[in-house]
Amino acid sequence: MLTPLRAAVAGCVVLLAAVLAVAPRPLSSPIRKVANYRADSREPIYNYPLDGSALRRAGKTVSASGRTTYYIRTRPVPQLGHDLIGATLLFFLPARPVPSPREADWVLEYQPDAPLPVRARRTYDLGNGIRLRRLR
Amino acid sequence: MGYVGGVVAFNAVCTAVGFCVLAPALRGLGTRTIATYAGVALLTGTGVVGVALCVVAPFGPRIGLVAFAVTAAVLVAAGLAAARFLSPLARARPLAAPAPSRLADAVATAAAAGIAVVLVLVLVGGFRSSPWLDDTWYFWLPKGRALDTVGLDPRLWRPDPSLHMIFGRDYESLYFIRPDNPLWWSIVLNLVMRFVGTIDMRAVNGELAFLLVGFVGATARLLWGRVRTWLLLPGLLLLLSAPELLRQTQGGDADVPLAIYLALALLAGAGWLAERSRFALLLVFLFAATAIQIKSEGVLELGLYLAILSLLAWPARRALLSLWCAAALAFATTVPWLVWRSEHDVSNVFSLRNALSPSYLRAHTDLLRGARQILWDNFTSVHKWSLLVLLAVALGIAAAVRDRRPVWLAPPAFLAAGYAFFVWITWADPEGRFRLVASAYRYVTPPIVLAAVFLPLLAERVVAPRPKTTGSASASAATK
Repeated sequence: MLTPLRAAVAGCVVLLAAVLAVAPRPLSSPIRKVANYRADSREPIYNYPLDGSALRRAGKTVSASGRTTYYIRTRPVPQLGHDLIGATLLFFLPARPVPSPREADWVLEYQPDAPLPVRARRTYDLGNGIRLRRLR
Repeated sequence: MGYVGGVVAFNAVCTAVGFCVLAPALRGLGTRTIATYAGVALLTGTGVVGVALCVVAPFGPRIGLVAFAVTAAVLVAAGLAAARFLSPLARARPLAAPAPSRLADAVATAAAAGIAVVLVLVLVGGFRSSPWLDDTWYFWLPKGRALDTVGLDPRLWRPDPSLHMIFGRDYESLYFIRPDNPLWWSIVLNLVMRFVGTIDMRAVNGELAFLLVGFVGATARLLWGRVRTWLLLPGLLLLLSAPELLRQTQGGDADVPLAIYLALALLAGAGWLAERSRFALLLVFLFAATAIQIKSEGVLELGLYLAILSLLAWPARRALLSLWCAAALAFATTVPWLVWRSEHDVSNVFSLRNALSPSYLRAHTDLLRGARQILWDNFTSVHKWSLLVLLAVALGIAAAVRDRRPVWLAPPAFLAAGYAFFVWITWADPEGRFRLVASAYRYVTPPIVLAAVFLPLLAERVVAPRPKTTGSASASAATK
């Protein structure tokens, strides 16, 4: 039940929190951290700066093709490879990753040193050196 | 609907399912009293739907919205039918809080307002942040997407060296890492995304925020009337304001859900031992089954903490059989997953052979030193966990000395056992060095939250008049 005492105490706590929320650092730091004043986007926070929107577009195309397979072609950078595998598992399913282009229906070329020497049925240029190639 | 609406809708549906599952136990209570069980219902609904889907996933169906709808409908129908036609086996026994003094009322009100402020910040911050831990988008959510789009396909779970790709000096696997982890968190995350309509990582933290809100609500409900409000609410506020708990609630990993369900399972277990309430026993089953289905270590931690509780509450041993039966029933829900794993050679990343081999352990004593130090630093960090650990130890000892009953040492024992358990696991793990750096701060979350959830009870025991009970009834009263 709301009594005058309770209303006053709760009001004081809320007011204190509001003052802290707008106060300069370091007073506001805990609230800034929890409320995440600098909001994130919907994208995963990648370790390597990937082009999230290009990967989403590639994922839309590949996942629509059903239970196909894909191969990732990129530069020999461990963190880049790690993040690309995670991102494609997130967006490309039900397609499955394979370790060789010979087994692949699709190739995702993510800023590789050199393009893969294969004949593609169709190529989707996603910009920024990112291409999706349909092999079969 | 937007990602906020999607997460809200998912949690609303889960809460409704939870209320229906609990309907036989809540029958006869007033509407306002039933509403106070919203936190329990949210965690019950989310837990039990996920557990049911974990049970059916190994049989091959795709686990998407249709499976969710069918499962939810079956649970709702079963709960309502049981409430309508069966005599109640379990009844919730809510207690009213006694009227406090003006000062106590002011303290409780300030704490309640503080809790509300923190929870609003948790919700707002959750919906504004994408998980900072890459495990979330690297394997937890993709596993859920795989279950939805192709079902439990062993090619994605089974470790296979032919599915490695070299990137520079390192290799990465094209199957899911940590394939041994159960499926609950992956299933829940995918369902949240399906409600949202797209992959929006902020929804993960939104869901974690809802689980934390449900946890606070459930804990408050279960302890209400059993602990003075001026002790209960500040205790919850202290737990809720631990910086590391809030940080991990925006991390996206499964450790916070595991901590929540494990803590509630043990709290309900204590409730069963203290009051012989079948409702508490039902909650032990529901929350323990969920904890087991969240992470591989869930079952080991549950067994360890239940063993501690059983040992310290030995005078109430007649009630222990039911408690362990509930735990065994909860474990049974994971059998289809374990059988599937065995059939498809998905072994545990943790090797019991190493853990029990003196020669292996002797050869890795350097890891033991690192594990002891790093885990100790995480357990005792006031900067990360506020005063939770310190208070759990101090109040546990104070209550045990005051009442001359060892049962009050359970929270400090949870912490000590959790520490020893993770030191041992790390020592026996070939990847222990990496995991210490990557995960030690998360290993400590479940035991610390578990110990902290008992803080209000310990505080109550310290300030309450000394009980006059003797003999075998003492344990019952001691946990009350």
